[in-house]
Amino acid sequence: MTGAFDPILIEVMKNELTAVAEEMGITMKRTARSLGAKEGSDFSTALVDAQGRLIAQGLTIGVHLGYIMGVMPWVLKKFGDDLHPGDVIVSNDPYGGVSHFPDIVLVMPIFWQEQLVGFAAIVEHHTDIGGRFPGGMGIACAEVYEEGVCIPGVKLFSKGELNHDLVDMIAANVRAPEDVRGDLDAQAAACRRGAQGVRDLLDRHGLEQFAACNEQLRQYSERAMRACIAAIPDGSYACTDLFEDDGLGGEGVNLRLAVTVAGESVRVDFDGTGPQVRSAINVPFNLTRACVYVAFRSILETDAPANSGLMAPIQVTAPEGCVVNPQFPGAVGARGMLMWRIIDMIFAALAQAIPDKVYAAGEGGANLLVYTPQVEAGVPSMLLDIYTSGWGARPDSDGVEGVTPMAAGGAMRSIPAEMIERECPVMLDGFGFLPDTGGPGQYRGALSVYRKWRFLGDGRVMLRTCRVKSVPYGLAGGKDGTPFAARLRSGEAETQLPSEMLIDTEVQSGETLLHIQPGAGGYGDPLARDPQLVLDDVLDEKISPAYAEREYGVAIDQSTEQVDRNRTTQLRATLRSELEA
Amino acid sequence: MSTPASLRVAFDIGGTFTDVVIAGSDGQLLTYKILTLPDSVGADVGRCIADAERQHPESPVSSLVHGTTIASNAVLEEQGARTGLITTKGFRDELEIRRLGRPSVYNVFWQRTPPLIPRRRRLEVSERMTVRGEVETPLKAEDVRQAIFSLKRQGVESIAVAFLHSYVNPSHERRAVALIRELFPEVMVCSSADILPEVREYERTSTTALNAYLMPVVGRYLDQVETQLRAYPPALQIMQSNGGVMSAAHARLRPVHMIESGPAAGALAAAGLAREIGLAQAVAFDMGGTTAKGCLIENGQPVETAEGEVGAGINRAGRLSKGAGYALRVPAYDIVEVGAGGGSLAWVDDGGALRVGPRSAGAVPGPACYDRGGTEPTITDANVVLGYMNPDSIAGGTVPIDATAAQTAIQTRLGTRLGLSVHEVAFGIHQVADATMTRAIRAVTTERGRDPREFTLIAFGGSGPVHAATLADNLGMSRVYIPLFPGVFSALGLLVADLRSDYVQSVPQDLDTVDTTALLQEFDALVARAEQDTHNEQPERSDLTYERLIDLRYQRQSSELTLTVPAQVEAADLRRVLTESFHAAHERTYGYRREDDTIAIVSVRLKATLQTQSLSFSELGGYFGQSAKKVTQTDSRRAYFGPQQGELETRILGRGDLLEQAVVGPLIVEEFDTTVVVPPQWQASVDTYGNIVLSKSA
Repeated sequence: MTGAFDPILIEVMKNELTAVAEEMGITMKRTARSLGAKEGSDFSTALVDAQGRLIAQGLTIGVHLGYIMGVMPWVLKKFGDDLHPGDVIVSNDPYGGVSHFPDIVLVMPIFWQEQLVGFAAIVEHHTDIGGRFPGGMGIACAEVYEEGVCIPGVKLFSKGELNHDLVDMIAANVRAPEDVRGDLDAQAAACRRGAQGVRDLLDRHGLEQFAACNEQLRQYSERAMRACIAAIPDGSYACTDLFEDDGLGGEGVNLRLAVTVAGESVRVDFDGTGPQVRSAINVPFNLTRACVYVAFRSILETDAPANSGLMAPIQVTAPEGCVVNPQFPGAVGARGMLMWRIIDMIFAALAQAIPDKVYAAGEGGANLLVYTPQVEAGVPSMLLDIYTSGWGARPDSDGVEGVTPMAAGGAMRSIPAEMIERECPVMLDGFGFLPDTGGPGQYRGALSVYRKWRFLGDGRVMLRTCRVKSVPYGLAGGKDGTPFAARLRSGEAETQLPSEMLIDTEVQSGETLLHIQPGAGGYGDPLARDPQLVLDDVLDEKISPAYAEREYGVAIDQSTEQVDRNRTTQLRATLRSELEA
Repeated sequence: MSTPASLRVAFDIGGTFTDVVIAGSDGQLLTYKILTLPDSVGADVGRCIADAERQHPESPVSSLVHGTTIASNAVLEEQGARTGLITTKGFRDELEIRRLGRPSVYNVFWQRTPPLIPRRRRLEVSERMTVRGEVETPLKAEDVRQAIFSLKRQGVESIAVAFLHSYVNPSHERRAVALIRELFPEVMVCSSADILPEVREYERTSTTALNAYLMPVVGRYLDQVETQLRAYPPALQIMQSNGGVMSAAHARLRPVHMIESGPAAGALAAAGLAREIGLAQAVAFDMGGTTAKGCLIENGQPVETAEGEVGAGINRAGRLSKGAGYALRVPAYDIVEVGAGGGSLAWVDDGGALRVGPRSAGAVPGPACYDRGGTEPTITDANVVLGYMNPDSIAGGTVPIDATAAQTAIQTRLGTRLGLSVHEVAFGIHQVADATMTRAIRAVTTERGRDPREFTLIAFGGSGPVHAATLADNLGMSRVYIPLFPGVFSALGLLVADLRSDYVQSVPQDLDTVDTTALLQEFDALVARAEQDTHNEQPERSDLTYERLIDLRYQRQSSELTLTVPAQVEAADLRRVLTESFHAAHERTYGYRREDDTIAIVSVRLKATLQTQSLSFSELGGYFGQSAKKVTQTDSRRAYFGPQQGELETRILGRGDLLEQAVVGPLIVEEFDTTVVVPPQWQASVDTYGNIVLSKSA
């Protein structure tokens, strides 16, 4: 079927490939040892063709898409004629297509009838990778040499034989060797499952039909993305932002990007973005590019398969040596905060062109805690706990509360307290909404989600918040969201921790840490909010009656639990005249 | 048959019709199709039983098995009880946050399904267990009292209690339940350690909340059915989502196990048929009055899932991407359901597009053509206007049809607005419904990586055979089976379902160090419980069969593999046998083994089964072949097959007319409980099992 388009075969192949990539994910989730993988699903799976082009993706973390595409040219260049059945290549090299050291990619060539037909690939965020800071995401590093073990694209398996020495070498250098060993096993198992799935497909369809389908699927996705871009008015839309600081408490980092739409193609350039910094917040270019893809995938309305066709109409450029295209050996371990900001900026730029598809700012990206308890002898049970808060308000509705960011894809989950407590010396004392947070608006930004841990052993904590100085913005008259806070309580004494993107602190047994994530921005005039929605929020204890009066001008009659219409009219008139004055 | 004469009664309640199948000991089936009137289901079924008793004097009723959509409808239509949740301090928002999950869609305007229990009725109390089940903070009874008073003031009918780590130590939950019973005796209550004693607080709490939400509704319903059927001594049995049946007493406490009750029965019947006729790959397609369902059948078994969700609309997302609805952790068949049934309403949306469902006219008022007060057009009205369904009466003449009312509804509500003829609109409704149902079939085939063209469609339900051929066309499927008794086929599944009970005991130990004698004794304890339960419910039966299962994993994995424990294994051999079979199973499932790693035991399980009398489809087919009336009707009517074919004179035959010859479409086969539409390019014949086999002409 080289020429003819068979709409049913295409649909079947698309879903078969996705099913194989998903089965890889199920294998990973079921056999992994780390909490992040088995409960949090912080991994992604993909299938790649023999030329290194993405042909299918399992459910994933949005930006992971970029690493697999990034690493393939390196794999092909280094191992092009040295690939054999049973080989598995492993890499975590940010300057070799990956992201930061904790993200480890495995790539397995797939052979069918003695031909190389493609690759099965999986990336996972591991609990630890050694280096100065637990979790490998410390901010105060200047060079990658400080950040842990670099695995520069080497064979983990050769013709099916595991390189035990390599695994021992990695395990000896990380703080969570059991997690890392077990997860590498699981990643390899997932690759084998993917390879087998593709071979089964080839048995049924043959190589010619398989390749033809992939080509048509690529064209299909490319057409869908081109149509999406064509719907955006031509023009250049710029966004600038001053990012929190340089990672060392110094000045903010100038960020600038311009989205230039011309017909069916788009170029995103980062000209004007500040130079790379001497801390670890630099974003490897490969990841910068992935942020752009994820943003455009988010505005694409059709359910087109995630393959290289989707990216074909999008060009990304950034000056060499800038903070989003750093040069070796610049540190990148803490690239997460800036990465999320780039995605927000692309949306902000697009808001100028397609305002009805853009929402106010959410919490600013995934936040996290790394807790490393001290253990007299033996191996500490580290906790890598990743979570988010909620969406900014939309042009037609409130922001969704307690959910992963739009750009994160749908797979990520919070780790259950009951699983954390099984494996780490910590208790979770709460995970929920904080009333009277988020940005008021005709549509309300999501409340702040807090998370609270009690440590059962002395240890060290790293706490990451993506938006620290820049509170999530509101839109169209909606107010900004609310700032983050972190409080450490020891007995009766409570300490407010500093406003830093990455807090690095010692904790004592029995202390509790409360992390209040930023509340999301509102949309539209708060005084235009339907009083009934305000009443619902009050009854649900999402906002207090005083807050309802102050922010929305809505008075609630406590005895009848109804809106007091007269007082509401008065309050709103007063608030409006105050605003106008 | 040597068994004493008796009647086995099965009834399956859908949104519009209730199907009753009564099996006599001679293997003959009596079938009835009655309108579902929610207040008199039991009484209406009782009348069918009375009729069967007249035909089979001296045959007492020996079993009453019931499949029902009451539980799933209550969730989908948000008609469950006003419910409260009492939970551990710090965790009231679990039910809303749902582990931050969402389906994998990149949609700026996505809206999350509202939580079953709003925040105002999710209340926290001071208490805490450690992961090992030690009391870290004692339960503060005063907090529980305050919560109870608040929920009472808010008028709840039901309360779910879910505390952290209650699967290890349920004592705080039990104490809270006792306080609720004492201070608020009229409220219903269930606790998470009873409903789902498994780790992971969100999934356990969600399943428990669903259970509480359903208990009052299901309880009232079962009370009424039992009262109306009290003339018949056998205890009422209810179909579970996993294809086994349970007692009504059990169902009242655990309604969460019957969410897929009706659909499971249909899948089970289709699987039985597929097994008997040797179809390795089939799709069961059941279209009733309110919804259409698809279920994949492989190697004669419906595909199962343990990680379900309910309330999310069509479950089309992949297996890792739940998050749209409410987590539900009970064993169930993997069934996808869409809101397209005979009673689904057709409407025009704001953009001027013709839409069908998910709202349904139900049994009351029903489609306009039933003349029971319905004025809005439905899929059934379209099928009447198109000439597919008999314009005078259906269900063997028991339900009169008013074709003019159907035409009027379509014309006035849709035709004028869309500027189309009645035929054009009716055909449009048929096509839109087909497209919606195509998605359901895709969700269980292409989206699971299966090519529907390799599968056979087994179509049933009152409306399934009307749409089966065009649906198959959409999917490129070239063969369709319409089994005997298509309109009541799901009820046949109730007759073949075994009584199944599952027991589980958490055993958090390592396989290397566990006392294997004690481990075997855990199974003995479960067997004793099963025997006790069976004795209470079925004192005459002593032929319970068991399957002993054990959940194992490598240390620190969080998913288990369930292995069967051989029946005859000695304690001395148990460790070796399980170790070897676990490593092997892990390698088989995931492609690798780690013989140096510790193997952890999670729990032991017992599956207790009381086999029921089976049903032979070939016997039914043979019986049909002997008795079928070959009337060779000469009737015909005009039916509309789309703008290209237009209105064609179409023969009307009975199933018996197809016994000796294949007939080419256009053709309509009228049956007591359904209508089979055979469009042009399709032909129909009948095989030895009595199935109508539709095949696409080359």
